[in-house]
Amino acid sequence: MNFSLFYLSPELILALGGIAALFVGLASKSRKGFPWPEVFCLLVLAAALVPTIAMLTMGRVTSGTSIFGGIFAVDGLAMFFKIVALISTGIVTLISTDFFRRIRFHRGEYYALLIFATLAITTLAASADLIMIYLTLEFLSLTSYILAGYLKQDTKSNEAAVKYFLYGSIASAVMIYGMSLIYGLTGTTNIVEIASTFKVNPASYSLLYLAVVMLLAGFGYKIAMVPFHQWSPDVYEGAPTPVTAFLSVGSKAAGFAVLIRVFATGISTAILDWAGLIMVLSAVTMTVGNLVAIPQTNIKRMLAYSSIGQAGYLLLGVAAMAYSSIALPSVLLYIFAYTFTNLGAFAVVSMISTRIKSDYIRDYAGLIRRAPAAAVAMVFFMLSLAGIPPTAGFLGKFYIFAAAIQSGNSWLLALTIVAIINTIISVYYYMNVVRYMFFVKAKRIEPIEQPGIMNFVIGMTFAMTIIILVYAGPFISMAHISSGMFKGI
Amino acid sequence: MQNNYAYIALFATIGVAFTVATMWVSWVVRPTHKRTGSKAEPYECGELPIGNAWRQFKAGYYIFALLFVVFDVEVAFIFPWARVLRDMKSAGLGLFAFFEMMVFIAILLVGLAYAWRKGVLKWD
Amino acid sequence: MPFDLHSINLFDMGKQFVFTLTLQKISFLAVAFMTFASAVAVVTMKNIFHSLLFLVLTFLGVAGIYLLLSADFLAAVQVLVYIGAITVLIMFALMLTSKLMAKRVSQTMEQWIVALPVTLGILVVLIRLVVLNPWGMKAAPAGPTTGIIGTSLMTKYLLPFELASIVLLVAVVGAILLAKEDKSDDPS
Repeated sequence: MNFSLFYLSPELILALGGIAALFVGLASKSRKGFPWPEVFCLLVLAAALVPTIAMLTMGRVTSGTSIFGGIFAVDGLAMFFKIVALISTGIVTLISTDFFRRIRFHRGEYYALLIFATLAITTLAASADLIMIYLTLEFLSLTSYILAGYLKQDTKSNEAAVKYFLYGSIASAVMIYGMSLIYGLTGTTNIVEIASTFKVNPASYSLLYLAVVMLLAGFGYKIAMVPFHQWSPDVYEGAPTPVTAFLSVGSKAAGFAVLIRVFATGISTAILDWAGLIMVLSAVTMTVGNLVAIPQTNIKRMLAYSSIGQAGYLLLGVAAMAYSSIALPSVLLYIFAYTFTNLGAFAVVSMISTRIKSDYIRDYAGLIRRAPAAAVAMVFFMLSLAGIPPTAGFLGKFYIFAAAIQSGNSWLLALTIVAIINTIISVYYYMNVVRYMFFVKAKRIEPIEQPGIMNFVIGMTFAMTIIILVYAGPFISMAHISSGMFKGI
Repeated sequence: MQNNYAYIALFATIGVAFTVATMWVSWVVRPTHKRTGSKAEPYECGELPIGNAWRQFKAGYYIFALLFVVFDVEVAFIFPWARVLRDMKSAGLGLFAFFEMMVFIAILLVGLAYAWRKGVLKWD
Repeated sequence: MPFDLHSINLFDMGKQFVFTLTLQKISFLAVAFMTFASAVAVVTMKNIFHSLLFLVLTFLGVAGIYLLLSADFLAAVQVLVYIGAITVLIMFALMLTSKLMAKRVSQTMEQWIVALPVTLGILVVLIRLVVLNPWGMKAAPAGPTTGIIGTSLMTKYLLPFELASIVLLVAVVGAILLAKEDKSDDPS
């Protein structure tokens, strides 16, 4: 029992911290004075990060460990996604302090909800039971709906919340239908037991295939996988920018965590060849995302389609997991690199958009004169999203492509070529932003105010975007340790 | 166990049959009148209704309905707990089970306290 | 025999077998018909308030199906939560929306011509696969299920149980945030 409490400590800290944050918010009425809600939120996240990192590095977790009768996994995969969630919410908190500076909003509840959303991701990353997965996925969705509609006076924010809610309810209804089919086939909800049951008596192939497609509706909706992506441009555009940043990183990573765990542990490729299905979805997702991103004029919509494309590359890595042992570490590395890059890009968008009161790419014209530091950092974020050195995105993409090629599977090879073509397409729209910032003449030239906190966020994410490539060793070994402690395929 | 369901079915049948029968009897024995004048009013005496009954209500009701749903779900969790608490006690887990439910209720009380502090329970 | 309640084997009770089977069959058909018919009415009624009333009947039918599956506690919860609370919530939402109650609105739009064959196709595939599959059946619990659910909530599913209270807390907070009118003296 003592042991399991230690294993649960990040979640306990987040749960108690979230509840306390509600009351910290109620107590601090004034905007002036010390920013208690923001600081408290950061403290809670940091406090939860310490035991998580400790568990990953001190070897306290081993492959296949779980508590509560196997429903809560304590392995490297869970710890990795917990770390990503805690770090990304921390950065989102910092972005929020600037974004909401001039907007009236319920401040205390906002940060409490961010903590609860992080709690949802950390539990989701560790869920090894269909009931837990459903509950935590709904928990994350519920919190995300509220956050997406946080600007109550803004009709676009309302639209974002409603669309996200309607789409999410349908997706999770389809998903739980698929779960019920799997439960009916195996008589258990635990994914380890599901795997062992299937090994003893294989299920009807077509029915299991149907169940897996239904599960993918729920998971695919979280990661914005085509054809379950339609919500994302509207929600990304309408939600407050820090919330968009959260959805594009934390929420997406959570989707991948559960996807990897269920597919790698629960449904082995010997029972159902899901790699082919994921490959097709990967090809469609990256192609649709990257092609539709080209004509976008709103930078948040452009980043929405870009993040759909990124999900496509990650799915390539997930499909390669069936054939290659370095695929999982490469997916984790990619997610780590993507986290800092995408949050950096959204930090710039949030800072600029609140000051020029526009989300259109054309209004970023001449940014190099108005906010030179942010513009230069944005160039590197765009390069990293496109996967061009000297940035972290290059390392992630390189590893995923390497895993796909190393597998020797000819379909994966073909898919890698599709991915490379997509990368070239993506350079066009990423560099379009750079073109506006550097080469298009601005209508207004007065400098944009850059508060210290945003300089810190952009500087930190920028530094990480470079460091992950230049000083790659620790990050690569972290990805390997995390995936090594995960008992999958 | 099936006999219990038979009771439910019996009660349901009697309930429906009674309602239908009463309405049928009153339909048979009542005199037929045209519904004109004050006969057409919802009440034949007293205040005349103003406007339509299908009107928009105060938004403040909604939060009460939402809070009701939340605590209704809570009851759905408490009930099976109450059923097994004695068994848990004899298994030596009584205090543990009691404590777990207290945590559950405490977290929901936080929600109530929040609603109270936020002033939504005030009717104005 | 594409669909036979024999295989569901809920009350396998020796002598009473033949009798219960037919009774069960009749109750299943009655409940299923009621659920299906009222569900169709929910999505076809022109007045949204009438849709809601049929929704109550649908929920009741689902509760009946739970009973037939020996899930007695779930049936009670279905009545308590769905009919008792969710319906009230939806009714309040209707009452609070201006000019929605008396309006007659069509619930279908022009895309139904495409949607209908697609959904019917999915339905056919689903029914075919589900019916053809040899399901491994477990005997239903002999007595009330409340105790079994209580025990598993207190032991194996302790974590989701406690997490559920936090989900409910977030629901309270979110509901208050989104539904409450903001006043100028609120903390910001």
